[in-house]
Amino acid sequence: MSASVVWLSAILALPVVGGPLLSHRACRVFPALCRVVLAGAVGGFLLSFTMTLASLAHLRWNASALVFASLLLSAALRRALRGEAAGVEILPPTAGAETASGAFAAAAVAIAFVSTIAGAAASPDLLLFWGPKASAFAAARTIDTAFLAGPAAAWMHPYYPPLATSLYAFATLWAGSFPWTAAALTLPILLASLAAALPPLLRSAAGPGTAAAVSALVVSALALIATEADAAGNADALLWLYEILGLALLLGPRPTPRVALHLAGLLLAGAATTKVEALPFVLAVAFGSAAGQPIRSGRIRAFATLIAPTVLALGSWLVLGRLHHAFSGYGEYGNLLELRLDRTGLVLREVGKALGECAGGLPFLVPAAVVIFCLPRLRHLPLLAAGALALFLGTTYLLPVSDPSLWIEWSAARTLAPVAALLALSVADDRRRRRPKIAAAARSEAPDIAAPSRNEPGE
Amino acid sequence: MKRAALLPLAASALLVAAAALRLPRPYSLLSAETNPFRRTLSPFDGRLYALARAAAPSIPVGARVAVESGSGRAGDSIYCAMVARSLLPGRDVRAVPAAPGWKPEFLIRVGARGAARPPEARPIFRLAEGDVWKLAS
Repeated sequence: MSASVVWLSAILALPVVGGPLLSHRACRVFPALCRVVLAGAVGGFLLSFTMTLASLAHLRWNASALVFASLLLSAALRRALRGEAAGVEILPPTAGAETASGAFAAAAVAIAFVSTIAGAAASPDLLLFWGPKASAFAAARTIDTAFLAGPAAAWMHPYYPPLATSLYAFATLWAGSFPWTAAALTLPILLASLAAALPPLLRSAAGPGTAAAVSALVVSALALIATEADAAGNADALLWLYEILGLALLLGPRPTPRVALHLAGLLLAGAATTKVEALPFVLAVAFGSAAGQPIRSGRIRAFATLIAPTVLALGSWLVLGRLHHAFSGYGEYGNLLELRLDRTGLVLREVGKALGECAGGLPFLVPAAVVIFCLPRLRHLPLLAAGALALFLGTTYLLPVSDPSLWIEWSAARTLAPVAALLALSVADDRRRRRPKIAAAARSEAPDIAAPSRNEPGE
Repeated sequence: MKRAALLPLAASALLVAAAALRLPRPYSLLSAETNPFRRTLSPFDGRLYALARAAAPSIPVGARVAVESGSGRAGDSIYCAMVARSLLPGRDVRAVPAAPGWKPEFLIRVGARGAARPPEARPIFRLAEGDVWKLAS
């Protein structure tokens, strides 16, 4: 147990890494706990990026040096917010619906914790490749491309992006061993982080009661899917955190404040370097968010800000794989020109079956029912992202493998989990909150609205 | 309370209740054994975890280890060997039947209670999850 505690304590380094950026005065729009979670998520991405860069430069990993280098990167990114005015803190929740929502979200996290401790939620993929890859990287003190290129890693999807394995390897360097239970416990920790950070972010898009209730729905749907589909310890929970928080930052008033764009860009890059299917999600969110900006120059700037960290981080990973002959892009996914369209019916049936076997399909049907009841007052950005993700995954299952049934049975509920969460997020809508307000006005007129900075263009 | 908040709140309550109903029985949580895979969907992960953790001190790094699923299906044995390779790093772990000429020093049999004793083998231990044998060299 002590090895697990030491391993998990490495998580504390992540908010420290993200601290310089999130301590900028413009980030004060977020309450303290939300800022800690955002700092941890940004810190995780920066640490993983630093580990990839160190591997590219043939530098052996050292835990302290990695933290120091990542801190420098975080401090450099802080300079991008130079001149940004102080934000007005989103006021804490009041009572009523928020208290009940907080209780449901806490219960969902507690259930995920108990299920993990009881040995009922850990992922086979943790045993098959996330854990072994992290252990190999920690032993080699680098992204071990020789291991990835070798026969031992043949079934370990060598091209899978590095964030989860790098962060696990960092914790293993820190603790000196890889405790499987600790890796599985990242599930409730990440769900708790999401439950803590999401309501304040959504309060810039919807009323405090709706924001809290939608957050509770997102967390309870993900917790149910994770425990039913055995997702503890693999990269899915990390992906959910990055995707949901990154998108939630972009649901506020338009034009989107610069600080929200910067943080969302880093979180989307975190998603893109966690799992392959995040790439279409990131592209959809970047296009959708940029298209929603009111002026042309703002659209170009928003798109560039949102996509640049992904291009750099994913690019460095793909270059590393290519240079060391470990993998070549996402080639294993096959050729899009060879899609087995004749299997569309089979794939749809198998996906339906797989989702139905996940708690009777409840975590997917319930958010879908909420969306139908809330029509037509829905946010378009989460729906666009959900559509892109579902289309990508559906297309992937049509690739020419011998029989996709078993693959779908293993993976569909987990990989489509963000779609359920995005459906829930689309309900977080309050048209009055889409109008930008300057900080002072926000405090006097609508105290719970996240105000964009004073020098935002278009104001 | 507004309908916009009430609907997702009720939906969340429903999902939390569904998740709570699916939790393992409370008394089963009191087990002192720490096995993060013992109730997962895979029939092999929890057993292999228990067997590999118990066997690790007896199987030296570099040893040749054969793994048999006990189900009689080659695909299951291959899966078990993949998992065992993660749990026993540094050992040469392969599925049974392995390539000709490769002679294992140890055999891990998952499940298969009451199965015949392998020829010229000495039991290292037998658990409810399976058994581990030292084979004649």
